[in-house]
Amino acid sequence: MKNYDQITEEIRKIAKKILNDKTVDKVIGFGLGTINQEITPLFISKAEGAKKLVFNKNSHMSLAKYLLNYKNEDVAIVAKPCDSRAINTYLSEKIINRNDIKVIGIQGCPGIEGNTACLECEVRNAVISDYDVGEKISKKKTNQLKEEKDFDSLSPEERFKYFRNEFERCTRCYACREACYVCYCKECFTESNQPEWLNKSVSLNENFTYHLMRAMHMAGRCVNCGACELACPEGIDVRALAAKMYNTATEIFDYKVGMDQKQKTLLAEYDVHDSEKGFME
Amino acid sequence: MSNDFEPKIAAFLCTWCSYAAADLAGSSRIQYPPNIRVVRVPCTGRMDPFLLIKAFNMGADGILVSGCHPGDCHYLDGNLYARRKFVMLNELMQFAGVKKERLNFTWCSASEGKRFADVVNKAVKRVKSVGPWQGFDGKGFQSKEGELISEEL
Amino acid sequence: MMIKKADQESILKLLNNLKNDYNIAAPVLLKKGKKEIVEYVFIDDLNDIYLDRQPDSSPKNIVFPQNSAIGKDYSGDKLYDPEKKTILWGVRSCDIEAIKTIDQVFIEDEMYTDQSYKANRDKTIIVGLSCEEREKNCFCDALGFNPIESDYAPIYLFIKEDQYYIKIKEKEYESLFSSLFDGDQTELNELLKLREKDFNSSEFEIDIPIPLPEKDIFEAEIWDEMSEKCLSCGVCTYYCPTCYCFNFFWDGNDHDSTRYKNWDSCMFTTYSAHASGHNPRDSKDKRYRNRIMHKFSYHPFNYEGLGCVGCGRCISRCPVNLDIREALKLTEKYLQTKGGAKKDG
Repeated sequence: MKNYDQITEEIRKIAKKILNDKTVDKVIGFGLGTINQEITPLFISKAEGAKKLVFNKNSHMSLAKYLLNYKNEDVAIVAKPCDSRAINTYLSEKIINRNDIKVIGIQGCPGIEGNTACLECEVRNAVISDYDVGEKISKKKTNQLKEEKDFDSLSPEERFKYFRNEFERCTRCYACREACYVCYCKECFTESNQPEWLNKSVSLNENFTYHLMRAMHMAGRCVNCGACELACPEGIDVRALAAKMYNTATEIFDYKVGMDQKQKTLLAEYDVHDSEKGFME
Repeated sequence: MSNDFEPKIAAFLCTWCSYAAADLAGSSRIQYPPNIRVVRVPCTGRMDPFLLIKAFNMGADGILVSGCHPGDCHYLDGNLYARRKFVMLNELMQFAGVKKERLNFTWCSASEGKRFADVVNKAVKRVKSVGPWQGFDGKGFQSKEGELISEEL
Repeated sequence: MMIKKADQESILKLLNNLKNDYNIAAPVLLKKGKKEIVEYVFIDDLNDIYLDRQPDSSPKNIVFPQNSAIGKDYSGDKLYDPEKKTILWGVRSCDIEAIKTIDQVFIEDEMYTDQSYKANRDKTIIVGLSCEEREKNCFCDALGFNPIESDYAPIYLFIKEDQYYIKIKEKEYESLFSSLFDGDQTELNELLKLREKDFNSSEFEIDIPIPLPEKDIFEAEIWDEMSEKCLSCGVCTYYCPTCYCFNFFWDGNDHDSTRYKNWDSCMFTTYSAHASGHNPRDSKDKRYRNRIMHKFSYHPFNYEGLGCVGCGRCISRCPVNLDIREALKLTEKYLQTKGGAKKDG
């Protein structure tokens, strides 16, 4: 596994090369803020700028979302393994064109500090890439999170209480929604008023409903990247519900999101012998 | 949890099977509890899981979804798509702490009037066993609304 | 003017007495999930007061709560008694200036007065707190504010280690602090002088005309570049101490409903959407332009002062580290290259 500095060097080299020979017009990557030196998405369109690209332990943003701003333009994107799965999902949902994008895939991602999702990561290597950086590592599933927060051992009442405590703090700034690559709907259900799925008041009942509805949209599409949780300014455990959907898809339907660009999403297909878990007898 | 608690159950019935089954139960004089509020849907495949979450948001004590048996869908495979959605929704709601007794999914064909009555009986019993739904915030819903609706009935 | 001097213990004792007649709101360190966040809340236990760093949320939620039912008196908080006045304790200079900005719009505006805000504001006594050192992202002095003291608060705290100096500028509040010993004016002045010297000057400096000349930059191509990474979430506006946009709506069922007033955010796509479906600010560069222009052009044009106080919360809390200072730098550069930069606008 290569470290952050080595990966940064490789990203810069590749970005410089593809910008120089005009393979792409723009490279989407990570950089540092010019004033506070903190990690931020960076958009490079000149080869000289490639040296500003950085990959460090705080590079938590899901860059895949920015691809939607550059439809039908030639762009390259620095993709962590989770982002690469997100790109696959976009391709399978035909949101973007494979020919338009070049993926600089990070192989053997060293993980992001403070992102609990990385501890659950199952891929560790980019699943789609035109240029590889880093080196591939074998899959290793770590279950550190399970020990820290074992929902299975909690009773429904305890879980209900836990989520109430979490969602009570929600200010509905929708940072989780905007940071999430799944949420690209032209009109979000939160904004729809015909039907009005959600009242606008910020109360626990509405917040809880919002998070449940959003999690339901995540079903079979969430790649469990943890961007929502890191985007939340109130430190809410936003990922818990989405991660549950992710794990359920794996357990019941043996379905893994975004492993292949031709894969259909979970709820867009069926099997005649699907499980009927939880149905009334 | 008083004994005279009469739950309100939002029942989403497929027009081609379960809705007809409810009709059959009625015309066959089979009694079932009046706790369900029927919403007729063209196919369970049309059921947006949001409708079910919204039902809880607005104070339903439980939900019941009934469609055609797998393989019998009027639109060939609507209920097969629906099945996956319901399994996911069920897991999600239970994970979030909603008791499994409130979530009732089943299949019921047009000829199963007796079965439909059984299903409703069972669903009402299940929801009764966990008491009134207090909302996601635990504050409960004003009983006023429930009274008004039962007066209309 | 009156100067008082006290140690931490007697201040807590004083507040404990005041608690009977006043609601007390102060910054408190709260554990929220994995994060530790300092926020202004109504408090009961005075030992919770946490003044060591700039609070992560502005005191806006005390005078202008996010969600309030129309006709009801700030019902959200159990510790809030609508019969009592509120002491807003330990507000830093930037937030005081921010409250001044909101006052300009909701109270001092000649045409309209927001009665619910005014009622809240009339009941609030602001106790300021002098900053000791610069936080990571704040830049109030670059915008011409004084981090050490703001004139808008009637009472001001200066803390040096365990010693509190309290400056009471208005006579009506002198009785609140009568139990404390008198302080020495020269002693305080020396402290202030020292603090001004110690306060490291900002690395960030900006030279733009205020208000920003709308006709020069409205159509400029800089906005796209600035807002490229913006996600269109509402974090910057919800945590901004000066953002005051709100929305009304009904909430409830067929038999009972309440009219609510809620914060709104100009970064949301629905903010400017018309009923017809047309949206004049349909892309994020237009929305971001509106945010910058409102703070640095429209507000200064309509009222005095700025719409931004430089607290830096929108920078620290932004999920993608979108920096308003970088936006200002870009604007400055654009105006200079276009030859439009004149100090007096």
